[in-house]
Amino acid sequence: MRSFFTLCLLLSLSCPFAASAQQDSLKEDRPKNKWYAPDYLVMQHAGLIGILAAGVGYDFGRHDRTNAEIMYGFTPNYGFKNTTHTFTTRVYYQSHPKPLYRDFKISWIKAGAGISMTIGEQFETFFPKKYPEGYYIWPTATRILPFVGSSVGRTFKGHARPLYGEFYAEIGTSDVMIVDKYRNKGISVPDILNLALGLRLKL
Amino acid sequence: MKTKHLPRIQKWLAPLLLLLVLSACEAFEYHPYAGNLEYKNLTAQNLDRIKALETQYSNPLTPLRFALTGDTQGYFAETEDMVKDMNSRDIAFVLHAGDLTNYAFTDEFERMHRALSKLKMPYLTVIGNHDCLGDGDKLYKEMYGPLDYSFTLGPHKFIFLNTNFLEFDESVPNMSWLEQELQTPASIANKFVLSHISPENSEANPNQEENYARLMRQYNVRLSLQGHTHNYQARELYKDGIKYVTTAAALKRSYVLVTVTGTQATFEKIEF
Repeated sequence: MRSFFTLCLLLSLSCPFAASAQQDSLKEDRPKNKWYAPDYLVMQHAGLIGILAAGVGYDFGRHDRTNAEIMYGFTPNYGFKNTTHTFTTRVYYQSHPKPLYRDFKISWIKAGAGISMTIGEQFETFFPKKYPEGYYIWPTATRILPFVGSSVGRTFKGHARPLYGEFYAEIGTSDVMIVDKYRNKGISVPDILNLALGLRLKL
Repeated sequence: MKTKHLPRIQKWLAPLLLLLVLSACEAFEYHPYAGNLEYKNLTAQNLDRIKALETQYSNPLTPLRFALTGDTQGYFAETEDMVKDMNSRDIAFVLHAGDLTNYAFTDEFERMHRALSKLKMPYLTVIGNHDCLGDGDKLYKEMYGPLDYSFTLGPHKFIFLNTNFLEFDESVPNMSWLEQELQTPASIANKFVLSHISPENSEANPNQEENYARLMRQYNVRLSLQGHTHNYQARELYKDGIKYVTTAAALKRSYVLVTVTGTQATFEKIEF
């Protein structure tokens, strides 16, 4: 399990450097949608933002490599608690897709962070005054969730213009887990990591 | 459009990466407080293991030795060393005074159980204030069991009391339940009450401090055991002959070893 994780991490980190050695001059920008229309749809499994999360996103910046998305995700109650409803905003960079195999292209690296907000009275953004100062530090409603990943996709025929659909995998962690790891040597790097899978369709 | 193909090594690395990612399925975490727990009903399971020792301890003169720890939250390295130290001694069971986690995340609960499950003997817990955060109290109930509970082992009775008043409300601690539990038949020679927060602590319910001390006195409780402060302390808090013992956090590399013989309970601070 641990070695799997380490391998995944190493691979996802080392591949972009290997790939960057080759030059790809085909960085054509996609035609843009109207300013208000989302540039893509996204759906994700796991990653601390819900068993299933879905939302819309915008890409911008040089060659549209920067992405910002907002997702709603839910986690079932498993019969003993409330279903959790989580809203997440994520901002990340995703490298330009390079040819991989036949029609498929690969973005070797995507890296960024999300901020999640789970609603419900049991989750606190600010701790009420009844607690002594510094009793609890991190809010339980909000998590900062850094991640790195890769994605594989291809172009599909669309009505107005070709669509680009892709599958991605990410390794992520959370703010509190990183702090905990640095506070105690009994916590290993794989202990604080988790995986997420997702689909993205560029409109 | 000219496509440049990747070198051979990267061609098979990509699917391999995907395969690795997919095979590591248990690494998917849905939510910090997700309810897909790997372990359930641990209190009941550990009570069964303790009950199996009943015949061994039915004679009141057989000494009973148990350990008291607490506040292992995030201190995994120290907890692992503590477990090794406990395993090297003759201990019937381990009591944990609460704060298994920092933020009551599902993953924190599970990793702490993995560390504590290396104990050769059963362990029993009481909920700590940190374990109540978010959906923590619900996760605790599902993974361990009730917040207030008790068990008997021969002539000994152990009562576990939720004292996290700030995270709940005025109804915590449940004093009427405690009094009921303390009313025991004559066959019970020793009573122990384990809770997370000591009654005089500024985070305990101030309206129940006197009441708690009165019950300990009235029902002649052998030891009142707790954690929370992270520092070892053993004293007669109200000068009434009732001893209050607080274990240090695992971080401080110490725990308490209690030996009960007849109606005498002696305790010592163990450093590891």
